[in-house]
Amino acid sequence: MNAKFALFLSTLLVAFSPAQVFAHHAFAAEFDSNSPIEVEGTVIKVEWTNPHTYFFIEVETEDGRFEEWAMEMGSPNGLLRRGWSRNSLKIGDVVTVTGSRARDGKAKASAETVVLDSGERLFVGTSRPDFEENDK
Amino acid sequence: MTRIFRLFCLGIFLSLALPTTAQVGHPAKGSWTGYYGPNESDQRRFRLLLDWTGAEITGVINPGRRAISLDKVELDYSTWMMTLEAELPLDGGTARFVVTGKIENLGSWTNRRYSGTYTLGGESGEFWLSLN
Repeated sequence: MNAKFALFLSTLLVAFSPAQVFAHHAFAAEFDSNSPIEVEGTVIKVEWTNPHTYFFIEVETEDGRFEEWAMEMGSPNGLLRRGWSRNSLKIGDVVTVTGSRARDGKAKASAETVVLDSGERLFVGTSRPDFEENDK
Repeated sequence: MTRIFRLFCLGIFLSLALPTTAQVGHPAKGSWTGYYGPNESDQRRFRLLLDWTGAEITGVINPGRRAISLDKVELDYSTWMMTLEAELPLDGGTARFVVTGKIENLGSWTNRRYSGTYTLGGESGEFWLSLN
């Protein structure tokens, strides 16, 4: 009886486990640390999701068009440990972001540093394994 | 065992029920981006950030360095027609920017739109925005 009940509980736990765990990936599988980017833009959306937090910025190109860049950061818990709060990055903030661009060439990057218009520098806990500031 | 099972069921129920508190709460609330212009060849970027205070809708046009607060927002809940008004800088002065449009796909998180017509001083045209 106990074994059956334990099996029943285990099945339920697996069934209700967050699907986001499947969204986790190795840095090198998606981003290229040899393709550094630095872009300035205005924050239009912030998503505090596991396993990665994302924010989206609107970047004006030289020819006057607008591109939407998706910036991946560490997990919400990782950001909180680095001193972030939900108000650290607000819609409308103008930010300069450095990071590593996505391998598929899309407007997506793994963010490494975010510098606010005020000059404040935020560390984002990138999943890039050799990024030395992750240890700070 | 029954008590443990009940607690487990309660945990499952809460894990399913609590995410409902993450809903946005008002169809107009959020960050919107799109364009406005008098014709297809003259389109200008339009960003809008709206909030719902529980009593009224507030917001800014182009949140960021050139943010302009909305000074009037009206929403007809029977038709979801919304009118926004603000003073926009224009040619060294300012001009009244009046936007009137309909919020559509209210239940959609990925395809909600707000579109209609606008006037900016003596200029008029169409606009569209989508929720980010």
